[in-house]
Amino acid sequence: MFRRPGRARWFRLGPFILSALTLAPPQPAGAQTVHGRLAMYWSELDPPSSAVVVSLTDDQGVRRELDLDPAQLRQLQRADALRGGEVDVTLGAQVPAIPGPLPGRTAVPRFSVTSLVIRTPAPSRRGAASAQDAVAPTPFVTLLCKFADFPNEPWTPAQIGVTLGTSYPGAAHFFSELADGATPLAGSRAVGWFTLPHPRSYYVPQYSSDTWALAADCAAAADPVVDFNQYYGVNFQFNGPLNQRPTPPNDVLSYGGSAILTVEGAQRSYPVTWLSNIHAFTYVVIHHEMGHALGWPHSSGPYLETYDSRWDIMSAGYIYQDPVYGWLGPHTVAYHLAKSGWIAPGRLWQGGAGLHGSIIMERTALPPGNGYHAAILPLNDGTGRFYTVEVRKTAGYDRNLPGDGVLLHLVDPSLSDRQAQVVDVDGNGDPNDAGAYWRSGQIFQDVSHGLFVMVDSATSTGYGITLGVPSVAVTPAARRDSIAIDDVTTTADSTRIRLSPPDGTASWTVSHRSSATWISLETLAGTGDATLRWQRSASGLPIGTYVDTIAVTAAGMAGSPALVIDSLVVYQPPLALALSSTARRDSVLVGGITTHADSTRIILTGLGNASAKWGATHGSGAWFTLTATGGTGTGWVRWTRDPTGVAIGTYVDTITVIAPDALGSPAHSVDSLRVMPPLSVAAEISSHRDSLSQGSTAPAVASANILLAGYDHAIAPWTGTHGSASWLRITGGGTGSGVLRWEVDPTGQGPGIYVDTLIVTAVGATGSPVRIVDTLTVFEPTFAVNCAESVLMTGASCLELAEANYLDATGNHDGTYNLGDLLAYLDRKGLPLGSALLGAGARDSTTRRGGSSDPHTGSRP
Amino acid sequence: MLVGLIAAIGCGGDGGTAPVPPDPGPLDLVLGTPNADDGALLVTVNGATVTSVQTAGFEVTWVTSGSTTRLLVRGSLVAGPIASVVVPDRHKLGSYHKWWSIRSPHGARATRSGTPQPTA
Repeated sequence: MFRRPGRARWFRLGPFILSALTLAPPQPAGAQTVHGRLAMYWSELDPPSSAVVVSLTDDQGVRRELDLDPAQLRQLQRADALRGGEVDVTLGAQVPAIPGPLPGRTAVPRFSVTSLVIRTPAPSRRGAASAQDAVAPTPFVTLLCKFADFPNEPWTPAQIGVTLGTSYPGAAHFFSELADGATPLAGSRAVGWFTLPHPRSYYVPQYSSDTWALAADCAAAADPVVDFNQYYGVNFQFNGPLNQRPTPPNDVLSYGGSAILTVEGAQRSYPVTWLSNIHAFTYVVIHHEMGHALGWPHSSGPYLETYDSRWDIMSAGYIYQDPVYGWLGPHTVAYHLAKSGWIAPGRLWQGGAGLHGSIIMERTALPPGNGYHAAILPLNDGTGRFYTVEVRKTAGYDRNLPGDGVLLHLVDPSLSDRQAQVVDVDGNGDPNDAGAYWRSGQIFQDVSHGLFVMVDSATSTGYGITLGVPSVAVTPAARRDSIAIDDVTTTADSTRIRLSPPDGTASWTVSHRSSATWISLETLAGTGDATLRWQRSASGLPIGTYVDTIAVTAAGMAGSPALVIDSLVVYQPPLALALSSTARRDSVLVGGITTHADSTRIILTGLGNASAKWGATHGSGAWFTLTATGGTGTGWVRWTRDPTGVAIGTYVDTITVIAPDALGSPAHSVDSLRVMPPLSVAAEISSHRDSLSQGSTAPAVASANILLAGYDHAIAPWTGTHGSASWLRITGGGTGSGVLRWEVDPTGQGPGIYVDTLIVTAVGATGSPVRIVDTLTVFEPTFAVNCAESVLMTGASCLELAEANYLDATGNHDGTYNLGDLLAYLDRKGLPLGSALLGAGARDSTTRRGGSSDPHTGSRP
Repeated sequence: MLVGLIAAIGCGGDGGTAPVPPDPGPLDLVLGTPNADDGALLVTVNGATVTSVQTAGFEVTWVTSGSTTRLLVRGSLVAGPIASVVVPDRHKLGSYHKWWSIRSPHGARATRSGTPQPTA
């Protein structure tokens, strides 16, 4: 049963076993062994939880209920024998029957079980799956049956057929979406009406229904008309209500499950539903009951409630109210789909290497063509339990889920019901909140069973997931190096150790498997992701290729030991030629006669280097003379440069060194001689001017490029000085060409023109000293008087700092511009209040009113 | 120094509860000062819109923004009226006399409040 939101409405779900016969059962005899078929249903003795009741129908059609112990129940559950399985049962003592007897009829006897033998598991009456469609056909026939005292036929078969149909939200449409587009209910139809032999009161006392009699009588009435061989399951749709719930809210119930029917001349187990008239078009009820008929138990949260999971049509169910069709439910959970074979084997991840993998998992509803649809992680603890992993996102019938994310269930197949229970890590009693599903970056870990599910990334239709047991890997897993023989250099290398999921506390150790001494491990142990480092040394190794394996061992992790294959090639290098310098240069003063010597080293390496011969030549430079032109093995080539008679300019020659059969031969070194004129100095400018406002305290910064040329110009020093002006400060000098910098500071200077001379001296240089004339013009600032007034009257900021300084400096000298300064200025200049301008280029006086919305000027008397 | 705001005309009323009509007109700015010649004063009047300013023989420039008016008065200032401000309703003198201030050429700030004295 499950609870309907809004109104507390309940209906019964459990499958019932029906018998076509109602014979009085034989009295139990000691050690009686009975052959027959099993069926099961869920009782409502203790709603909202449910309890399984198992029945045995023998070859004569006599039905008995079995009081199984948990071990026997698990045995049957694991063998999938509870729904029609053929067994031999040795009966024990008779125990009290459940539920109570219907009026006027004998209760079904109930026995303990001494032993049982499973002959065959539950027979499959499904059709064969086609090559294109992995889902076997399971067509249903809906039989319209009316009670003997209820003559009304409220709907036509065509109307009821719509609830089975392929149009939204008909059952064929709903279950097709659950079956990933397959059409398991194709061929379903409705037939009727058929009249039951008894009035409703015969079948339906107030708080119970004789579902066996209802199914048997309705099927018998339809048998002459309906070919039951064409159908997988049967919906019994009645024209009146079945029983009310015996507990509040005492609503009318419908049922789903299985029954053993005698039709087409044979006794068979059929998936069936019993539907009250009020549920004829209640799709969430129809879909839920047909789910039971298809063999799906309830799922739930990990608590005591059966109908608390909004992730499953087989639990809370009522999650979306369609404005036209009423309440609808979501998909069912992956465990049920897998149980029915509705997940293609290639879409069900059941473990990669070492039960570890990274996969793309698509949403359950309307998934795209690629990716996994679910995963199974066994606990491997001997209980047979496992986790299912599935992606639930808003789409199709999953339009109103609690959220989008990765959903896990802990499945115990040995349970009679609620085998799949939502993993709800916050344990707060609500399996529909954020504690029950995972999103990108979140990890579920079952530490005791060494399992995890990590959501790596999100796509529009699913998630990237890494799952299974934690793993260790190294990237890259192969490294290689080559070292010349006799090279004693040690080379370092590394690779990354990665743990999945990331776990900074997980420890690992490192070893290498051979006794080779050329590897020296620097990293021997650690925790979490890390860099594995080692060194190689070819010292003492003969020519050859050496391979060793470095192993990273992490206990209990998939991929352990993770291996790094390391290779070292020791080789004999060929003869090679190189020069220590490939370019040399010199500078001399024109007219010089001193010869300059220079050299570069000849480096011969590799096979036969000690006995290899080399020779050197050069170009046509008359100023260039080779003094050492050849040798054996590593040595020096030497030469001289003679500037005698060489004019100003730059001269280039090339030295060519040849060592026969050596790599790098011929090698070249370019030699340059620069003959330079005498040192000179000059400035780019000869004068400079600044014009600054009186009152300004910000120095002006000036500069001039000083150019040095000729011999040794790069190292020649120069200095800058100036005359006696207090307003000028030199801040720069230097070596070689550079910049002379100085500051012009008008602070304290009255209006006027001031001149000083800057002098640059470079000792020994022609053109020294260089003179630059600097002129400073200090002027009175120009501003509007009414601007100066506005500063005082409105706080306007229309005076520059230099202007305010000027007014104070020529006013009361108290360090700030105020009324006394303005008064002094007006008196000194003979200006009236509100005077527009002072001097040329003054600003617009109107804008200097400091934001007055209604500016006015006064008038002189 | 002392500046007082004094109504230039008397105010009346019927003593009843009926609304009193507005009484627009000038308020004198009266300077009381120990100095012989302050040279210039910056006067700030808060509390009402000043519609115009009338001189009392001295140079005056003024600016108003909302309910604040600032006047710059220049001349050989001595104790006595230095200017008048015209307001929309002299009945509301209470809102005028609370906030007014002056600033002398020397930078010192002096403020003074007092009850304006109606004049005949």
